[in-house]
Formats: sequence, structure tokens, C-alpha cells
Amino acid sequence: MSMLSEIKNIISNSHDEVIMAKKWNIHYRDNLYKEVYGRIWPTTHRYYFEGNPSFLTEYKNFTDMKRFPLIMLRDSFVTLSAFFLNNPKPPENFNTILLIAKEWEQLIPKTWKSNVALYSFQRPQAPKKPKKVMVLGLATSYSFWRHTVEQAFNNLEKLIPKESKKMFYLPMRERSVFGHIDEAPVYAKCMRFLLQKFGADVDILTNNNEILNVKLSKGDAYCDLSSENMLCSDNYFHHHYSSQNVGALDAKNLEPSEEDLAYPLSLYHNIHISELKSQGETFAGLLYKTKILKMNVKDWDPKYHDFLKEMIKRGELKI
Amino acid sequence: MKIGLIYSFKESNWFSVTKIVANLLKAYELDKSNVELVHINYSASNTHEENLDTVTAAFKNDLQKLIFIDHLPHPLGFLSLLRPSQREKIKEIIFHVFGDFTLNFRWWSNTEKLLKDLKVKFVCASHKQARLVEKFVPKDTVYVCPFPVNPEEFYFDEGKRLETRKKIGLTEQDFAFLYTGRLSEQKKSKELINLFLDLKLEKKLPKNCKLIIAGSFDNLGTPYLQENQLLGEYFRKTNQILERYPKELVEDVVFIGNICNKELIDYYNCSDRFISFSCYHDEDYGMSVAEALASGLPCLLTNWAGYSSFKIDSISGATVHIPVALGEKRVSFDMDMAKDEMVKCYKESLPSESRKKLSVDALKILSIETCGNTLEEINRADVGVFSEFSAFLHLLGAVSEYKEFPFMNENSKVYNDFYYKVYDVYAE
Repeated sequence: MSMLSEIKNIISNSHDEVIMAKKWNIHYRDNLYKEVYGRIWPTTHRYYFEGNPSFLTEYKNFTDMKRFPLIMLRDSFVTLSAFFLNNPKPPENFNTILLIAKEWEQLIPKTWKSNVALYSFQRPQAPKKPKKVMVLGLATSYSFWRHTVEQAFNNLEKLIPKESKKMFYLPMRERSVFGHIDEAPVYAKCMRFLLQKFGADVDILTNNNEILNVKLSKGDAYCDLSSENMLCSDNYFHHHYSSQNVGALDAKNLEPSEEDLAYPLSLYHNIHISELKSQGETFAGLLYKTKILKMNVKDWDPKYHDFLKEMIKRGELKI
Repeated sequence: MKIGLIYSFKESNWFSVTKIVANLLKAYELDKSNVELVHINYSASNTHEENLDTVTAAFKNDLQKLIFIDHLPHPLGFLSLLRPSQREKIKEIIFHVFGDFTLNFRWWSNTEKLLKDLKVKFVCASHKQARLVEKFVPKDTVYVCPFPVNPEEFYFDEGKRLETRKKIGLTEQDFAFLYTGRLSEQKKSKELINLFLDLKLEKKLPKNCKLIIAGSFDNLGTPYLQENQLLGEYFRKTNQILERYPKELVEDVVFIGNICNKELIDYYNCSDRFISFSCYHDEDYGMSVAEALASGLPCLLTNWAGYSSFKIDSISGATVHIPVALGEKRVSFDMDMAKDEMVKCYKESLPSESRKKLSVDALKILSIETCGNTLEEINRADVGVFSEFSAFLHLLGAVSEYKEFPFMNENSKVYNDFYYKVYDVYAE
């Protein structure tokens, strides 16, 4: 049976027992990322799909993962790279299929080909002149690895029509991601460029508990402050707004192939699942570097995060 | 006499409540007797100081009567802000009761002492809701007045029928069932789609019969039983139903998403039968049903809660009700009868003249003017001084203090006795 046929079969036979988001008794692998994802909530809020969208930290170990025939990982570069570097090939008798965000295709070793497929989303297009634009931002150092804060705001300035009313969701806390990192300097920079580029006639929303109650409608749009999120590839807000037919200003045009599986997640947006075709070039480069530098690859280790960040800034990683 | 109309000037998160409040305001403004209305903005988004200022400003007007026409925030907050000198001036308080009455027992329990020695009236939107509320408040304080429909917004228009059909690709020969509202577990929209497609598969409904679904999906699940749903869950589960049927049948279920209030009348006029098998636990009324009837659209409904009040007997078959029953975890409706009635509705669609009459007869009961007259009578009615809420309300209020799900048996996660004692009247 082909990979996609197998996935189709799993999805059509799915039930709540094999969907992590429906469980109340999750045995987390560690407390660190549980807290991190809690701090960047509602970006990491749960939603429903039979593909089982979840995070690596929600599985204690491979034995735990084996209980689920399909796991759609919402993880991003930091935790995914560590996972594949520490597990360059699947363990024996591991039949679970992992769905990985298509943007990290090159991070997947060839040896995992039989256990991995890719996912991407088709979201509604934004109107040319939206009345309101909601900018979703995590003003943390993990949003500005490829681009600086200034570059991100320059891009935003080009993207958002001048006439649109701007709302910025920018939750502010010193320890907004990892407890040992003071993110206040990043936040301060964001505020400086926000005021410089867009002036004071903007709404700034900071309350995590209230943000989901802010209403947008069909003639409005949303976009991300930064196209990078090194901690979460699958942003809940994208689903929240797409399911209300609110278009994404920065939606990439998806070119699905006929072979792809497509599932509607709402009346207005879909998920596409495709086979892995890449050779894992980024993984190969990363593996080589970590061996040469004798890097201790731990997703919780700040040195590892700094190592990844430097590699990206120097252009040594193709992502 | 100066009457304070208390509501939030900000739109509610529940779209139907926004319409209800607007129409109630219009109904009260029709009162030609010697009444001066004072509009008071009492809103959850106000700070405590803002609400205090609101109360002070309102009582400069020597108010003698207060009428709460909104569902949130609970009146307890407002009444707690009254000083004794302000409270002394009040002769009577009227509460319009919404579907969330059963979510607020502990607030009502705490309101009792603030109502003592005042004349109090509870205005319910339907007869079954009145019977439910009578379990908790003195019977002689309960009145019924439907939430009004604006006849300038909802009416029968043959022209709109033809125009809208052309726009959405329906032919004159097509028969269209229409559902408007939230697509939700308790609204039974999945079951409606399932029955429709079954009938299609069994060839009891032909190709030219369509089901138009106007509304958006929600994730409310069954909160009383701690069965919350995730974003997309109800949509995916509905989609699983659709995937079981051949594509050519599924094409006859047309999802049009949310439509704005102005467009609703077009869809009511272009359709042939409004259909809803909702068993939503707080279906105190059914604004969409009222608007459909006002637009001359006959209805096929469950006999649940507020829906039971929609009976237009002057036209045979205009309002058809399906029996319901309270179950362990769900309220269910008679699916076999529902299927039979759907086929009957298709075979016996109402002609244009009957629909026009239906609109006229419905508006005789539901229009702003009629409801305004009813509210005037309620206003003038004499009622004794309020004594207390029932022991049952206080019991449920106390239980709600420490139990997040007062209607759930925690061991078996099914409805407990309290649920049946409260909601039995909705299933009769």
C-alpha cells in the first residue's frame, strides 16, 4: 500500500482514542516544552483533525508514540532538528507515520522516508484592501533568526495596505518563552519599529485570554509579524481565522499535486498531505556540523539553540 | 413615569441577542402612555467605576421602574450598585429572561435579597420557558411575550424568491429546505444532514430537492456533560457523514456559511421549508424560526422548548413539530417521523398565497407592534410584592458554587436528576 493510501486509511478509521488533542491524561516527555508551549498559547492551542496534530513533547517516548498510527507534528525547527539528529533512523518496529510541515522537508533524513509524509495548508486569500488587519506576533528571539526585527517590520509595511486599520497581537512578558531568556529587549525593539512604521493609531492587544474573542470578518485579514516561528510550525490562529473565512495576507500559493490528499478543516481552508520527495540535504549538513563541532544535541540546551541560530544567520543551513 | 431600560450598548457575541435587544427597544418605544424611557448602558466591558457612574446618572432621572432587556451581564451586578435612596424610588423591576437563565442560578440566588419588597416580573419568550422559570420564581410573576421580529426586515416577497433563486442557481422547480443558525452538536445539524441524505439515497427525495445550510460551525459540544469540542471537530464529524454518501447526492447539501442579517430575508423567501431539529438545551425561543415564519416560510421543527410555541394553525401544515425525548446523554427526536415529515413537506409545499397569509398571521403574533402591545399590558399588570425564589433555585445555586457541571453525574458522565427536574417541561 502506498504511503498516502495508508494515511487515507488511517484517517478514515480514526477515532478519539488515537487523537492526542482529545486526551485529558497526557504524559509529557518533559516539563520544559510543556511550559514553553503554555507560554506561547494560544499559538499552540489544540484543534481537531484526524491526522492527530500534536507536539513531540506530548509523547513520553517511542513506545508512547507507537500507540498512535498517525502523528501530525506541529513542532518547528528547534525540536524537529533535535529529534532527527538524535534519531537518524526510526526505531525497530516503528509503524507510526509522522506528518511534518512541508517547510521542514529538507530536515528529514532519507532513512525516515517510510515513516514520514508532509503537510501544508491552503488558506483563504485576503481581500486586496482589507478593512482591518490583525498582525499576529510572538515578540521573542525565536521569531527573528533569519530576519531582524527591522527587516520583519519593513516586510510588514510593504504587505499591509496603508488604508487598513491595524491591530497587533503582541503579548508582552519578560520570560515569554524560555525561563532563562529575558525577551524584553526583543519586545522593546518590536514596539519601537511598530511605532516608527505604523504610528500610534494602531490597536495593541496583549491579553492571551481575550485575543480569541476579538472578532474579524470576511472583509478583514490577518498576517504573521514574522514568517519564522522556530517553536511552532502550525499556528492555531491560522485555523481560527481561516475557519471564519478571514484571509491571510501572507498566504503562500499552494500548488498541490493531484496525488496529494486533501481534507477540508473548515468550509474555507484545507490541509494537503503529500509524499516526502526530498533527500534531506539540510539534515545532512546539520549532522555533519554537529559531529565536527561535537555539539550536544538537546532541544532544551540553549547552546544548541544558539548553534542553530548562528548556522542560519551565516546562511549555512538551507531552510 | 420614568422607566430605565437596561442593556449593553455594545453588540453581544450572540448575534440573535443583538437583534432581540434592538427589537425589544423598538417595542418599548411604541408605548404611547405616559412613559419616559431612559436608556442605561450596563455592559460587561465597563469598569466598576463606569457602572457606578452609569447608575448615578440614571437615577438623576427619578426612575420608578427598571427593565432588563439584555442577557449579560447578570442584573445582580447592577442591582448591587444601587444605594438605599436609589432603591427606595424603584416600584417595579422587569426581567426579560433569556436561554442562559439556567446557567445563572447562583447569581439569581444572590439577587433575592435585593428584590424583596419590590414588584418583580419575569417575561419569558415562550410558554415552555415560562413553565421552566415557574419552577424557580413565584408563578404570578411570570409572563410570556415572544421576542419581536421587525416586519420591515422580514416579510414575504415573491420577487425576492425568484431573484435569489436565480442568484444561487436554484430553478423554480427545485425544492429547498433551509436551516439557518449555528452548526452545532446540540442543534443536531449533523443529524439533519444525515436524514436528508438517507432520504436521497432511498430515493424518497428527488434530485431537485436541496438542503441549504446557512451558518457557521461552533465547538460548543455538550457543555453540561463536560463534552467540549475542539476547533474544527464538529466540522470534521459532519464531513465524515458527507463522505459516506455518493458525491452526486452530497452536492444537494449546500453550505453557504454565515450570511448577514440583510440577506436572511432573501433566503427565507427563496426556500420552501425552514427545517431545524435542534434540541439545544437553552432553546428558549428560536429567533431564526420567528423570522422564517414572518417571511412566510413554513417550518418543520422539533417540539423542543421554545420551538413548541411556534404554531400557526390558520394554515394547515405551516408549522410541523417532531416529538422529542430526554435521554441519558442527549435529547433525541423521532427520526422516523422526521423523515416522513420531510417527504411530506416536499410533496405538499405551500403555494404563494398561503405563504403570504402565513407571513401576515405570523406577524400578527410576532411583530414589534404586537409585542409592544403585549409588553404594555405586562407593564400595566398588577403583581404582588416579591417574596423569594424557590428552594429548588437556591439548591441549584448552592450546587453551582462548587460544581462546574451541576447537571452531570460525575461518575457516569450522564445527566443527573437535577437536569431532568429542570428540563422535563421542554420535552413535553
